[in-house]
Amino acid sequence: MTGVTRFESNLLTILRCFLRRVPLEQALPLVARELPAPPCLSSAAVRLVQDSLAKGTALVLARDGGWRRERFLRGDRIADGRLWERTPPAALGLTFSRQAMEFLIWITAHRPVFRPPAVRKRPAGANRKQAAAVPELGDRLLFFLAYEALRNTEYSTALLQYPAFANDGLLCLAFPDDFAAARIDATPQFGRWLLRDGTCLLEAFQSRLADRWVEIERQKHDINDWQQLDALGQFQDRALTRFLSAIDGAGRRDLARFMLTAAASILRGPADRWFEKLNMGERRLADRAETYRAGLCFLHRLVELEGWEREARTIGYLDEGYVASQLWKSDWERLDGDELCRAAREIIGRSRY
Amino acid sequence: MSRAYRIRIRETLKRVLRAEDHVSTQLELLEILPADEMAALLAAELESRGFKQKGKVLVRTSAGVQVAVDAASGTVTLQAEAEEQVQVAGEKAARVYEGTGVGQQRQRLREELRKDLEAEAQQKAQQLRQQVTQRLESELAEVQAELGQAVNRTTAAALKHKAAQLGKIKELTEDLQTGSLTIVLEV
Repeated sequence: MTGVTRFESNLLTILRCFLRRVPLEQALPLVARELPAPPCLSSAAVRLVQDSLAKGTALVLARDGGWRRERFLRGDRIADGRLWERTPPAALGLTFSRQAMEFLIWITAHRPVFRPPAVRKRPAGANRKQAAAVPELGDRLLFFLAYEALRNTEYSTALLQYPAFANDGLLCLAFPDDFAAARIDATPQFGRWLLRDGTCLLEAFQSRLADRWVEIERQKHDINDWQQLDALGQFQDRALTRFLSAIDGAGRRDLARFMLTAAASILRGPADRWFEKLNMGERRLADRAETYRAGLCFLHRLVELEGWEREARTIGYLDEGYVASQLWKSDWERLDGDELCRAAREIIGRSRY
Repeated sequence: MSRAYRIRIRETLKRVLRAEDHVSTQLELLEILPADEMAALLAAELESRGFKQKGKVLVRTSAGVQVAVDAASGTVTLQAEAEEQVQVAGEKAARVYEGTGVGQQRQRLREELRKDLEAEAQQKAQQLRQQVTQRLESELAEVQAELGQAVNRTTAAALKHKAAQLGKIKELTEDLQTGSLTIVLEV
């Protein structure tokens, strides 16, 4: 039996909540409680944290999407199978730095409090060193899971101000609605997510990302405040633009597959439901057009993917990028990209002003 | 007992109000012929409808709305502007008592009056904006219908060109009302 202090016990419970091993109701009172952090954690507690992270993150990735038999690029070939079949398990190891521990200590010791951006840029206790250090991939995954666990609580907006959260590409891509609602001016960074091991996580999260974007686009049908739609659309556009540019630069267009999957659900409903509750008041046509454009940014970006399809058709067997082009064409055909783009154009055409 | 005074402030505000609105839409032209030939046919059709070439775009102004068409890209931009000189005047009065800073009260009253006049001018500016937008909206529907016809005529012209390239046209029947076109070719 390993003994830990009260602080360490709280920390471990909060961590396990993030890893979906413990219900939120059990961890939430511990997040709300402020407890002075000890000078250092015991070796037993550190071992338990390490063990939880090692097993918990693997389980989350396996359950979220790693179990699916899918085809993704591996260099100049297509790998088929579950995540650990496409990439050997030894190469799937995640690295955690002291930032993970510092975050866990911070959230256990402090009650996350949101400050409007003009007043405070960092939550209490988060120091400059944390802002300057670059998180490892494991840290980023922990931050993602932590935010996901707490996003429907009063602490969600405060978390988005935590230094490592604010510009994280995956958080921005998965939760653009939260960033827009909190009016956080973030610049999504995808660099770390597109290194080799990071792309494996993006592969595992494809269905999660698709589900999120379907949810966000369907919610737009109920928005009646044009300013809210504007803010949401602009952030979505920023996140998508940077994501598509990053994966294109990394030669991983296959990671945009979630957009096609999401579009298949989004475009299933009647075309005239879009913006049916939106109140534009007496706005100029030009301003209305801007709001509609922001609101339909996902469909605009989807239509641009047709360019990738046209390009893929011109790549010959001996040309560079042939395998990637074949995979893209295969996804496009399987998910009926042409029909999706046709439906998207119809909605865009109806909603110009 | 301090004496009471009644102070009255009059102010006039002159403003030049400007309002502008614009909207863009896209023409869908089938690529029956190469893009530059299609653009040339569209330009010719638009010129026959009163558009004038101005740089890269064809422009026409009617009912205070300027319509600009980029034949190469198919982008149509409608723009409407308005300018109005307005003068708003107002008056405010208040009772002040001797020894209570009459000068300051007069200044405060003047500032309040100016705020009210600014608000009135803003309201007029908003009305002008709405008028411009309404004008643009009413023209938009007509322009869209007309450009739709222009696109149909351009498509028909392109089909005739294409048919002539493929073979000898034996028969050509065009119904301008329905927009249908029948071409019989000898190849």
